Amino acid sequence: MNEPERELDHLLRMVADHVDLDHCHRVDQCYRWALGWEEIDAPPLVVQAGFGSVIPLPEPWSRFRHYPYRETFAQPAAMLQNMLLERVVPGLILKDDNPLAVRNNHGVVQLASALTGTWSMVEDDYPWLERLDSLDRVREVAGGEGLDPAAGLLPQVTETLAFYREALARYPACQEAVQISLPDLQGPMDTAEQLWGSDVHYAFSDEPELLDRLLARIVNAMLAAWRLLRPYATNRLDPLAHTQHGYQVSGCLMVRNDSSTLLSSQMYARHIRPHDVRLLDAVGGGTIHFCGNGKHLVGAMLSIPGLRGLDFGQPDRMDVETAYCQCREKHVSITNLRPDRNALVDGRARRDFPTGVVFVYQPASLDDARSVLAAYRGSS
Amino acid sequence: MSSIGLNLDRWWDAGRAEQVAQLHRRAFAWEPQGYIPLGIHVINPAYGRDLDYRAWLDPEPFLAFQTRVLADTLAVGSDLLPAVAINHLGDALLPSLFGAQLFMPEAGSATLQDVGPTPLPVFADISEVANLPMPPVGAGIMPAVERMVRRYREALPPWVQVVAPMPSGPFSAAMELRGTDILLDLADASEQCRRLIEMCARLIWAIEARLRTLAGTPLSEHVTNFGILGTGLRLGDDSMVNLSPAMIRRFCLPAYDMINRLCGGRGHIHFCSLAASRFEHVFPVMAASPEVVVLSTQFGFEYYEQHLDELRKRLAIESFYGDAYGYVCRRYGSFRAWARDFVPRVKNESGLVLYFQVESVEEGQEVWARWQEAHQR
Repeated sequence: MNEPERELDHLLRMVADHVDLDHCHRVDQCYRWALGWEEIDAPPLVVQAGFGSVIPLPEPWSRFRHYPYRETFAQPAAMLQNMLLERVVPGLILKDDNPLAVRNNHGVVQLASALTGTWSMVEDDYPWLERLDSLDRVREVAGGEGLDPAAGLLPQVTETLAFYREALARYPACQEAVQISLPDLQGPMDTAEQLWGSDVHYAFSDEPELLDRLLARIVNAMLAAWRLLRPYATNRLDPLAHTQHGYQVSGCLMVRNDSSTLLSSQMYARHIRPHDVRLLDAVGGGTIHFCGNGKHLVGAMLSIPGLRGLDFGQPDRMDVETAYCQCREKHVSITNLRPDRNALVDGRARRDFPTGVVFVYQPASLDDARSVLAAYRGSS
Repeated sequence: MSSIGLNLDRWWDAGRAEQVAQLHRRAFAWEPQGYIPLGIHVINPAYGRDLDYRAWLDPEPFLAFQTRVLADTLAVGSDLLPAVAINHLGDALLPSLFGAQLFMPEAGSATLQDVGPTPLPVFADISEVANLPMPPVGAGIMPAVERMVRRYREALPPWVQVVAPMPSGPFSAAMELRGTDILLDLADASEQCRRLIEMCARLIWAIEARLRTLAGTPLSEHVTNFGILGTGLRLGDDSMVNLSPAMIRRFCLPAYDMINRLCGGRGHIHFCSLAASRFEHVFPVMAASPEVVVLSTQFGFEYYEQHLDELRKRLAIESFYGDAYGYVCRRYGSFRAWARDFVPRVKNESGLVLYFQVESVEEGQEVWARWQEAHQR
């Protein structure tokens, strides 16, 4: 063991000592009911903040090193340590509805890098890739087949996930309590934009057939990656839900559709939705995520048979009341709803959204988090 | 002495004006003349300091400002035709015919290309265009603009061209009326978009013809609001840069063709560019289209030099305004250093007209001298 691995081992031992498996099972049950739109005392509430950076962790957790991102990229032990400090330890301290999940933190181009074989890092930022430099290169990628597990970031991803499994397995309580999230595979449109650049938006008008071929290729690659990487993930609620973003989301895959918010609902329905339909059907159902204002897409997305959940990256940009009514009819869950502090404390959040949702609260401090959690549970 | 209190007549030289017009004409026709025409506008920032943009439909303060600008510009004596443009209204006029609300910021820029009020979108949905009748040309702020044109014409000597507010291009006007959602409508409802763009094209010329009559400008004579002899009506189609080459061909060029047929002349199209955002995908489209013979954009002079073989006899370039002067000063150390490098390499070509603004007559005269000097090399 090298020095980071020794420190990680120490951290894992402490995590194992603090894990409350009964609480974990109660949290799991809470998600089962909420995501299944069953009657429940109160939907899950997860506290998230920049733990370890913006909000310091208390002793003894503060003794552990929080690594710069670039160091974690080259060192799985450092990446796992950061994830435990950011995502798991706060749940142990607060006993909120945190499902205690870690992810490989390799960013958003894990799939795209495997399709082009290239990626790069600048300073301490997540990896990125240069867009394909010609229409011929786009045609080449669109015409390709299969997925090379040795391409792009994939070897590093699988190596990291294997390391996570081994490290957690050394402590049975950790192995049982701490889940490993499926890597971020983005979605057909998001990956198409990464590959094609913003010119992809012209393709809806100028190159619809090539766009369709590229999206189909991305779906095939996503499914291959999903089959490759799923055995590394651990999800206690599979296939009802899996962990993403530090909470449980419905189904077996989260499809990222951020770039689709730039499209009209007709364009989404005509060009992107058929690919989302095929993808979610093949995995047995899942959640669609988007950041920003995607109000205009909700109706088109709700007609996807395999849609089990919607995850709003920025719920403040959405009309959540209207979306909730639309989703309730179809029993499609909504995750990452962020009611304001008062609504959580005085019970309005729970009353307005009694089930089918997962709340997230961003506290000013650990004390603030504790007091909101106590009031939220009291109000229910 | 004109009614605005400045003696502009001492600057009038009919022979020189004809010489300048000929320089522009030959440059845009790609006839080599061993010289690159350069216009120097003098915009003294002190003149615009007290302009109250809340009174933007009152002609007097803006006329006084423009007249002082013209006097300083004529004092430099560069390759510009004597013109005073109503350039503080931005793109307000055409959208106002459709009832657009106009948002005027408290402070304007009082420069060569004042952006004027911002028209807010009129159509919440493109389907509203389906049965939309043409609005009357006398609607909106047109009566106020007509008063303004009359007042400018009455106040200025007859040899000064009074130029109506520069029209937006038909696509940009349509985008102002519909907002950025038109970028989605182009794919989802292209026929209705075409209808709106065509409607804007017809209105652009209807407005221009009406105002030219008041300004006493022949309908066949195209002097731009920057004192350049245009090849046709100069249209600011800035929003076109958001479109792909294929979409520009599909949605913009037919509208330019329509305007050419209505007003005569050939397309003279502007879009704004910055050093880091040059929108170079527009140039090959325009170079390949018979509808356009002059493309005007701030940073086109570098594209011109790099792509001369593709542009020659097909697409002339008007350029150098906006941030370009500051850019070459920073990049080459001075205007003189840039001119000494640039001019000898391209002066025996043609197809290029440049203009820009400085802040004082002295600066203008200095730059003008450096320009002539560069042509001696």
